[in-house]
Amino acid sequence: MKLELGKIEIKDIQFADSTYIADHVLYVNTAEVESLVLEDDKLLTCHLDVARPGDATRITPVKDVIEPRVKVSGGGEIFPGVIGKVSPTVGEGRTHALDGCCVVTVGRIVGFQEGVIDMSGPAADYCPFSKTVNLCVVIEPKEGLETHVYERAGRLAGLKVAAYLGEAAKNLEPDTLEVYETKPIFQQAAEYPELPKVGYVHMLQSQGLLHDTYYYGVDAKQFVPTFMYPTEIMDGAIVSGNCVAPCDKVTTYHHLHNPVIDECYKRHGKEINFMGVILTNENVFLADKERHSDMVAKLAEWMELDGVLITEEGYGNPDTDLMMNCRKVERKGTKVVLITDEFPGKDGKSQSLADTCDEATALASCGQGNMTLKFPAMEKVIGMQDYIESQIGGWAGCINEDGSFEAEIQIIIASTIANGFNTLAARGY
Amino acid sequence: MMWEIEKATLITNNERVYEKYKDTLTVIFEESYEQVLIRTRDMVYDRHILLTHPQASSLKPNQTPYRSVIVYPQGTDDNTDAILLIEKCLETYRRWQEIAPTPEKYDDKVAYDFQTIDLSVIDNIIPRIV
Repeated sequence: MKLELGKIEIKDIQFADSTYIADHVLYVNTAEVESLVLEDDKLLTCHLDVARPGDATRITPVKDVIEPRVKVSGGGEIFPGVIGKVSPTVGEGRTHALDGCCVVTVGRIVGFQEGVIDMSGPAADYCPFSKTVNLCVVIEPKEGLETHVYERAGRLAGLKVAAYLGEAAKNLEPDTLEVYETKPIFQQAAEYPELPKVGYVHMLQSQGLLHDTYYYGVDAKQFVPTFMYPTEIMDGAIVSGNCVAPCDKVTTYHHLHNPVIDECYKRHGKEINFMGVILTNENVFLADKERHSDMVAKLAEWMELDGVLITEEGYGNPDTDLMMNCRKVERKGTKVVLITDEFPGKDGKSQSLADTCDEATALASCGQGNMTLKFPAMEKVIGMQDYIESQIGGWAGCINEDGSFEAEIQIIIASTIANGFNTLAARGY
Repeated sequence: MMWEIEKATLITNNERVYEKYKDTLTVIFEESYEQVLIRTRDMVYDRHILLTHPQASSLKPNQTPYRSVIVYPQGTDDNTDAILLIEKCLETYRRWQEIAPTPEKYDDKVAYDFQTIDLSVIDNIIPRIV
């Protein structure tokens, strides 16, 4: 499967009478976007705002962040099974991406979670979306909706807007073009027989409301581990449906920009033979954990992998899946490196994962979420600050009258994201 | 193996889980998150296995007041893994309480939302126990 990913650099977003891209500026017809969002009768209001890097602006509570993309050729539609048609599969041909801009969905879903994006100030250093131009889609649900109904409406709103904006790039000439290819298993193994065969075990959140992820539209807790071409993921075959623990949330943007896939492709044909992705989940039912980690190990063996990288999403329950995958894959003779973030307490000295195993001997850390930070007051808030004290990372009394507050960096979207997208790390000396 | 729902025991401090499932299976109501873990541990030591992970959802143990766990008679299974896991969960819970204790009182709306998340986990599991 071969994908050409064309990037159109976006430097600013402006509101206009129609939606188009010119001179690296994305012009957005607000009326069209708002009516697209409000097609869903679960949503009462929608308004748009733009946040730019360097602005004295805070966005909260954030639900998801999505990069607009469009399928140009090769079959399939972006976000298949959710926004696009479920068949054919994606990952082939040409895709265009609006590089440097994001759709950010904003609005309260439950009273204790969803994170913060600061466009400037000390917290901006910890968030990748402080460096992108963001079209914020602020939504409000109708009264009395069940939480899961509103969650779904919010999730689809962001994806619909991203797919709509992506269409503006369909007939443009991209500024850069990157080519990614993974061949069918026997061909791929034969292509670089001298290089170690490396795979990526990609664990998806799948624990329940606000802890879900979707694969071609399927709730991830309902599938068994499977193989994926990495380019399918670049076309939106995986979308986020979770927003608990902002710091290590894998947004839909991060699925499109998975750093493990990115790095493996950079080394593909040079240091490693990147064989593809083993997709699995993090179910609460312990029998699923045993069964699915067995299947992950079986797939790793069947692919004759010499090594795998494993990433998780979340803390606690997923740590058990992480360790089961590690132990069983290692016992099949495949070397494992784990990638995750840590929660070792404010002094950084407590055990940082909720589970461990003897086979877990190599781990790359993506930083620790218990560190605290002072967030200055901002001139503008997109969304609302009413819930800072009860958002993850905040505490009773943490916010001041002027809107400044202190919180753990857990409250910042993707600050310690457990796939290594950010620059936080732990180093041994 | 297949499970029989009437043999399973649900341990919870979430009123909404209790009310919804008390007629479906045996449900033990406890007063606190920690008491749920302790009762779970006691049942695991008394010949039960865990059907669900005692740290379901990725809310850290000091970030939610609610916890629900399902256990099942051990039968002929070895339950060493369950013993190790529940002990680990208790240890992790206590470590997080040292970092920062769970707030004693939540706003009613926020507490309701925490119940919703915990209930969602159990709602997804019950149909699996067949």
